[in-house]
Amino acid sequence: MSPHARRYAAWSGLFVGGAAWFAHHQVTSDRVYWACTTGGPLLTGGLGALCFIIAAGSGLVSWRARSGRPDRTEGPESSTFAGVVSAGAAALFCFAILLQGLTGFIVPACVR
Amino acid sequence: MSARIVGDLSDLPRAGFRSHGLWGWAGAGFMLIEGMGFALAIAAYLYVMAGNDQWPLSERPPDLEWGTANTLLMLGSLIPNYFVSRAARRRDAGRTQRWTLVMAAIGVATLLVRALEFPHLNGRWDHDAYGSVMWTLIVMHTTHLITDFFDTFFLAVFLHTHPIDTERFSDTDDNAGYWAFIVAWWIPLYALVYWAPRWMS
Repeated sequence: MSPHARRYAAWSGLFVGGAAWFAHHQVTSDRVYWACTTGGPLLTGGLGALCFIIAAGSGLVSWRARSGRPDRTEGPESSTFAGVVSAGAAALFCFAILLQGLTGFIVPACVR
Repeated sequence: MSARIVGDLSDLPRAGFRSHGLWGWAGAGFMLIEGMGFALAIAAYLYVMAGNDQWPLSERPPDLEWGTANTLLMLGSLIPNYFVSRAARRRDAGRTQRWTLVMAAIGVATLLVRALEFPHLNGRWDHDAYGSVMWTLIVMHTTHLITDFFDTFFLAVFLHTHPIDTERFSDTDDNAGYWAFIVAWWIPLYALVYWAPRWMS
């Protein structure tokens, strides 16, 4: 991986992981609002599994890109800080997606 | 052991406005959590600013034009926002539909002006601590503009395609309250992003 690509890859967990969490939150909440009968395990769990894999994968990419320049631990050419922060953020997004995905298994569709 | 009925709540309305509805309390909790996030980000900005003799560290302060224009746009949007809230509380379906469309259009306008603000911040987010903390504030707020636009646009479509009962009127009123929350937090953020660098330099 080139240093240029590694620089962007280090941030993937923060931005791609965040986008995966946002997409899961927005799609499931809007879909259930539109027609509550769809709010079952298939929607929240199935889409949750997909978004979880995307967020976890982006975190893994960040983690692997963090040691791009082991001779540089700070400054614009270093990916260490970005990689660690992004991997941690991706873990947090995975946890949030997990909780959102469980709702369809716990709360019956259309419950008031 | 047999169940003992202690009260009959079936006569209670299924939905109510603000403190009389479950979603009003949920929205209040949501705003409390997000408000804490804004407060922490502001504390971070003030902490970094107080720890440096020069502020901004090496950049020019952001240009005022687009940020000020967006501030005025957001403050002006509180008028139609009040109208949509009032129409919803009066259960006036026609006006609620129309003003919700207006608010969705205003959401687009604020995002477009926000897009024009970024090139005029006069500092990269990864240049130094000033750039990072300034971008943190404005990106946090932009995230709220984006989510509110999605929600308002979705609500506008929903109100034009589904029957509107008290619960949907209440949702519309809650959405108006959330927009007021976003505008209210922008005022201290605008002061920090656009004016603090001028006052401190």
